[in-house]
Amino acid sequence: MTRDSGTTGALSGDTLLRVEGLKKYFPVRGGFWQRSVKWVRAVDSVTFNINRGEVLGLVGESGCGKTTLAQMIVGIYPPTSGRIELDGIDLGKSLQSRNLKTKRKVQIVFQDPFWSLNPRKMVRDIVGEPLVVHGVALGSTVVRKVGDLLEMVGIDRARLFSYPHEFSGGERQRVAIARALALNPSLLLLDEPTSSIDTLSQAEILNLLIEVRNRFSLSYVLISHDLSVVQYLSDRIAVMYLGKIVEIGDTRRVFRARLHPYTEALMAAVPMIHASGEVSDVKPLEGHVPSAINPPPGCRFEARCYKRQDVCAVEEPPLRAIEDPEHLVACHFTNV
Amino acid sequence: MAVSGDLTFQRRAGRALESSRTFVKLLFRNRLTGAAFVVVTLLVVVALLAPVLAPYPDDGRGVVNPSERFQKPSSEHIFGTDDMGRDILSRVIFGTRISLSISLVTIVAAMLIAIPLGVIAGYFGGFIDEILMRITDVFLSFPPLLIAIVVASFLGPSLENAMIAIVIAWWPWYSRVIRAQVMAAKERPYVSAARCIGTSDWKIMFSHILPNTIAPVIIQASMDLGCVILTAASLSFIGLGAQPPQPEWGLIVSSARTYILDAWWYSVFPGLAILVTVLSFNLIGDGLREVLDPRTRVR
Repeated sequence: MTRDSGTTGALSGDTLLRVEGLKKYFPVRGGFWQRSVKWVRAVDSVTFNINRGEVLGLVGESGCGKTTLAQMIVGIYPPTSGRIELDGIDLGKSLQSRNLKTKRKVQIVFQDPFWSLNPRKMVRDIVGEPLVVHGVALGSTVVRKVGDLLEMVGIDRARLFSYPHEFSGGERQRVAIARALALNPSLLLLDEPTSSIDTLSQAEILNLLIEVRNRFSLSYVLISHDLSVVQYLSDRIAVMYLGKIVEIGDTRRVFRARLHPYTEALMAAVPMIHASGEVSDVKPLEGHVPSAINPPPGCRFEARCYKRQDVCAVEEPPLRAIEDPEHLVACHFTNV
Repeated sequence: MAVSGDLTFQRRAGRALESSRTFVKLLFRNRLTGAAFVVVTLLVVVALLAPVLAPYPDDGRGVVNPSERFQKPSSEHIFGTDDMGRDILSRVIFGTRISLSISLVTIVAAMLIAIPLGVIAGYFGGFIDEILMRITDVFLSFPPLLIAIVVASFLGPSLENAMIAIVIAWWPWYSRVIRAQVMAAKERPYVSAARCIGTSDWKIMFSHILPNTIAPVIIQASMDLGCVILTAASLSFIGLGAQPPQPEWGLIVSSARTYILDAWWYSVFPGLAILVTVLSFNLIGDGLREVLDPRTRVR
């Protein structure tokens, strides 16, 4: 597997997905006539690229807009504004505007394996549904193909006729992955694929994802709040805070350099077990995430930042390169 | 492949049998539900075999015997006879047919109207939902019996019209129940996943959402089977439903009203038939809710 920065750059290489100025504002209705009086800025002007075969890790605390971003890319939520391009083709606003051919290229695996599979359907129908809808297979070939897919994700094909409740959490997630892979997508969105699974199944799922990615040269957008998962799997990492990307770049560089104070705080909050058996101190970040309804006018991290100065409250820092042209960060004081 | 296919089929069939067995076991664990289940089964048998079981099948169909008016309950006429000399037991037995078919036909018809509308309103939301729900609001703002009376008197008194009236009064309730269920279910990830795959809205509605939302409607319907019998009897009682000489229970009670002091048996036995039937359906509805909705299950 190649994890060299040479193949993972945002500017170079074969771009698969381009997201430009993507915004999602949810209305907060209130007052007379249920007018929308306020807007929750769940995702606010997010721009990034993903290359073919690349894994982009998306990290940030709960409510920072990771899931909304993924659901806009896959088309569940129409964006308020901005562009999503796949292979240079505009994906349009919502699922309705996408044709079947486009839909099959982008698939998603949800966080909760208990509700992501219809409890009243057999695995054959769950995994076979995309094949039937897209006319890829009919009749007995569906059973054969679903069996192949199940075997690929490590589930015995004899369990074709089982219902979701007969599987463990990890197995259900495998079934969900099989369903997403049925259409040979080029981009897979993984929305916290391992966060509701026990640690051992988690490791197996991660290895499965790596194996699948190498086999089909898939691209992933991996959403997680577990930094070790992201570090293990992704080529590049994007750190989100309150609807904005604050730092994006090669995973190893970001983990080493930690240019944004929020990235620094995120990584300091993870307990590390050293070789000596010593456990490092965790440093939780103080203060609370400001409301996304009325985000502060300057830098959104200003209130909790130890580097803050007067300019931070007034001027929003742009996402810019410091040394490496592919490692971008949104902070006024990266070298203080 | 063929052998393993057979094996999976056997396994599946065995599993289905097992689950239906546990279903019945659960249903009978509550003694009252079990008893009600037995009563309803008996009622169905009685309705099917009415001409065989009734001691005087002709009386059930409405043949008059003026010489045998107002006989007290005896070994010859267990429930006594009415003002036309007809055997009341036979009339009640034949009435079972009418009451059971009224309840079944009207509930099924109401569900057939309500479920598609409720699913569409809940799934699409917005303008369609607004219109459909305002229509149901109009219906729901009156008691169903009142609507049924208005509709039945507008259509003219007959059993068929009474059934139409009941359907019109009943469907909005199911629409509401199913809409609320659909609204909750459409946010679940498996629906989002189906949308991402490209499954059509219709298929999502009726193959993904409906099977997961139908249970509360089934429960409601099984409880309403009794209510509908009561409503139909009420309509017949005030002359808007079944017409003489049909042996409808409500109609029998209605014609017995005049003689209530002289011939108690005339009104009491058809009244008891209504009571037992309605009670049994309600108990079954309660039992079904316990079985289908594990949250209300008593451990």
